[in-house]
Amino acid sequence: MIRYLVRRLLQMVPLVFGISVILFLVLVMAPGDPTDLLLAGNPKVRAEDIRLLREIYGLEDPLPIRYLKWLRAAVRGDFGYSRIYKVPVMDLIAERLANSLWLTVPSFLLAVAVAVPVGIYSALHQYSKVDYAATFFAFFGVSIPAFWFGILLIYIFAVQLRWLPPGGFSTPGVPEGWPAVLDRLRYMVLPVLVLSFLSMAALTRYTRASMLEVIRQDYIRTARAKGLRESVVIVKHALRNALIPIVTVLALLIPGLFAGAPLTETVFSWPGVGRLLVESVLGGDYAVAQAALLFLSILVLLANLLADVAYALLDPRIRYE
Amino acid sequence: MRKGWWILLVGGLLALPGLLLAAPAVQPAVSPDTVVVGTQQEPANIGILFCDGCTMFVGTMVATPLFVPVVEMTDEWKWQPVAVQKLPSLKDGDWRLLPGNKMQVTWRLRRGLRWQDGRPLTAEDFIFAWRVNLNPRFPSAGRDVSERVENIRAPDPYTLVVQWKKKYAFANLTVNGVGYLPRHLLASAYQRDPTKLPQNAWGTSEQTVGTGPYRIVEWRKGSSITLERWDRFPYEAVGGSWGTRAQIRRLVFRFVPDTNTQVANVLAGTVDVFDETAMPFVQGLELEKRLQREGRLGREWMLRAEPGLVWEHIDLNVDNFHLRDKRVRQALVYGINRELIVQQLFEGKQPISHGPFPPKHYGYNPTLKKYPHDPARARQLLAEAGYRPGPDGILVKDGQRLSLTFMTTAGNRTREAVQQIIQQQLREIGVEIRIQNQPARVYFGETLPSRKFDMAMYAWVFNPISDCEGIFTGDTLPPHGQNYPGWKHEEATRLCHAVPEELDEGQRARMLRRFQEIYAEEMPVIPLYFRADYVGWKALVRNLRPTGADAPITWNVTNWAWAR
Repeated sequence: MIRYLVRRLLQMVPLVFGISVILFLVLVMAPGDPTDLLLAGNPKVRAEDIRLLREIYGLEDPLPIRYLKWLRAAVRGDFGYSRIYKVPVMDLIAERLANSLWLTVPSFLLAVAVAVPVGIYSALHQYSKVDYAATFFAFFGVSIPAFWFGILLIYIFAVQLRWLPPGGFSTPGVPEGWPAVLDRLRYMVLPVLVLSFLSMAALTRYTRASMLEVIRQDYIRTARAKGLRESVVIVKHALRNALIPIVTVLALLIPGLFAGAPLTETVFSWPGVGRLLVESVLGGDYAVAQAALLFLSILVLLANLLADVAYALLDPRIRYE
Repeated sequence: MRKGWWILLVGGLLALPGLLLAAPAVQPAVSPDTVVVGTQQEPANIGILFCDGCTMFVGTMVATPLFVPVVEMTDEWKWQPVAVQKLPSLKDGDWRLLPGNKMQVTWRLRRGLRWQDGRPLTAEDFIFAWRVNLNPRFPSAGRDVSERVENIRAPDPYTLVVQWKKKYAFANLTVNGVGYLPRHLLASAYQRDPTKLPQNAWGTSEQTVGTGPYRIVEWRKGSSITLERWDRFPYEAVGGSWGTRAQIRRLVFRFVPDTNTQVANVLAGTVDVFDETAMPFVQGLELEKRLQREGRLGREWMLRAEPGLVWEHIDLNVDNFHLRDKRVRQALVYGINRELIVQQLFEGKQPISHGPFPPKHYGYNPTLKKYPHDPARARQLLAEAGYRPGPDGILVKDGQRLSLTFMTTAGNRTREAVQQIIQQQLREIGVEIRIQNQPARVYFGETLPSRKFDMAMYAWVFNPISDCEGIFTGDTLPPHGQNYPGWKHEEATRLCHAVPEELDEGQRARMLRRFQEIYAEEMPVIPLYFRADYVGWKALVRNLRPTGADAPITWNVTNWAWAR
């Protein structure tokens, strides 16, 4: 297993390199560059100043040189400066990542805590009222856009009921300690609900489908025929096998939560890494966009690895060499 | 019994919003010693020197309470001294004309002003900032005024003698075109690498030491900036609106990128003030109607949309086969019903323009040739220009159909709506309009500078002393300026270059008025309307006075207060 892990991690190196080349090319080939915004609206900005800015941003070098310069610095952990925020990219991403974790971890846990039991119950009680309700909410969750759902929740809970803040990260001036924690929790409720609801929907459907497939298998009938208690049949025999495909979905949900958060983070003015990504792409802040996208790609690769490892742990028939 | 519970529960839930709404909503978002300002963008840099692109305006809003200005513009567009004893004037002799078209202006700084680390604010800080801004290795977006200055001397720490290379009309409003910087904090970083100065912690973090009545205490990137009153600010030593001791202890600038969420913040009362960048006009209009309907306008919230200096217009490429004839350009303006557009889209709150300058501008020409909607006149002009209707109703001249591409920024709903109305209106006078929109980056970065358009709609952001240099001068075609239409007119070029050097305001205004006459006859750019943006504040916040111009709402922040 250790050898397998090391091999997989080593395989990731050329993959990450390839991804970084593609990301670099995609970002560079996008029309316009960061200095264009300077021209818009400012009739007196001069061509020489634009050239100097392009030089400072390193936009005057030929493409391969630009990439090699970026790569050399990146290997040393230096991803450059953010043009918009004027701070080192890594500091910015680390800070935003920490903020994102405040949303993604609770969303993930909530989604799993609700979706897996509901999915199992739905499968065991197919065509029951609960099953219909779960199916309805799952389709609702899959179909609605995150920003629309976010605005709906803001309208109900912030504008009409005034129970929760309509967005933001914290109330200015709240003292440190418990008041700050409670304050943060109030800001988290709505975005966590939106994020978890969206993944909850897909996860419920997966769990239900996976469970339905398993409980029709011969070995479940055999287990029941042996006279085992229903709870043992469901938990030990059915659930364990049904979990294998679910684990894949769960593992891949992690990067999905980060990548899917931009809209939610934008609607709720949450300064997370997702929003940073959107802002950096729109604002031509290439250094940030490149690093954030690379981070997301690595997250996807790691999540895949995690899913494979979990497979082996759950299914004794799978052995990695 | 069970049914009864359900009725109680549902009834209770339904009644709850009403009960909660009845609760007093007019109260500070955080506390009565704090004002929360909602804004859409986050400034890149709040140093007074370097602003990179579009976040300039919001940067000024945050910077204003942090740095005492040299002079300030009031909401009545009047200038008054703040950090200096008086505005120099030719009459008083501290603004002198020298042989060879040169000038000398003497400024006297008020004593007692200091940086928030205790060091006094002196003439050296102005000279340092000027040198930095002139350094070609320093990335500056605005050197044109600084470059007009030949030399600056400081005979004593509180006197600045500024030598100008040639006449500059607004030399009494700026010391050096750039302001001041903390020499004691930045000199070594500047000497190390001027290109990196904009990344210095000073200007981009809590380490920004200012000179104003507020100091920065927290900057949460992507979320908010918090300022706190600096109680050692020498109110007695400043002029203008700055002499009043600030009553608000804490100012929070909260960044809300999504404009729908911003509206929700206003309705829920979690911001106390929102600035002109917070939401687009149309959303502000809807908000105003809603607050009016709910009886909250004036009682809870004050909203104001003042037409300002953002000029929406359509550049006409005068090198185009059709557009090089001024009769065609005039016909297009006659063919567009601008009154109808502003009524339908903006309920008349964004007034149509007849030229680049709004009525409040000192150089505005009230007798300018106007172009009311007159399709008959438009058709007549086109007939005079040699156009005859083709088989499909579109006019033709020398075998070429009068068909024009019309571009603007894709995704801007307001502009796209205006575009569609214009397309329909011009079809009625026999002009075919082909809409081709592009993302802002391509449009501003490639299409406009390379002049690859027939008609291009966008806006210029002017200020109260803006002129026509750089946009309407025949020698400022890209890449040497932003005369995108490519219009060359000898007299207009001469006037526009002369205006910034004319010291007599009356004469300057006459020159601008003459320029507008030429413009209105030649019509290289179709004037559409002046944009208005909504600014709002809770009715309990006193003394908020938006300027409707380029001065941010925080210009008189020391006067703000919560009603008791």
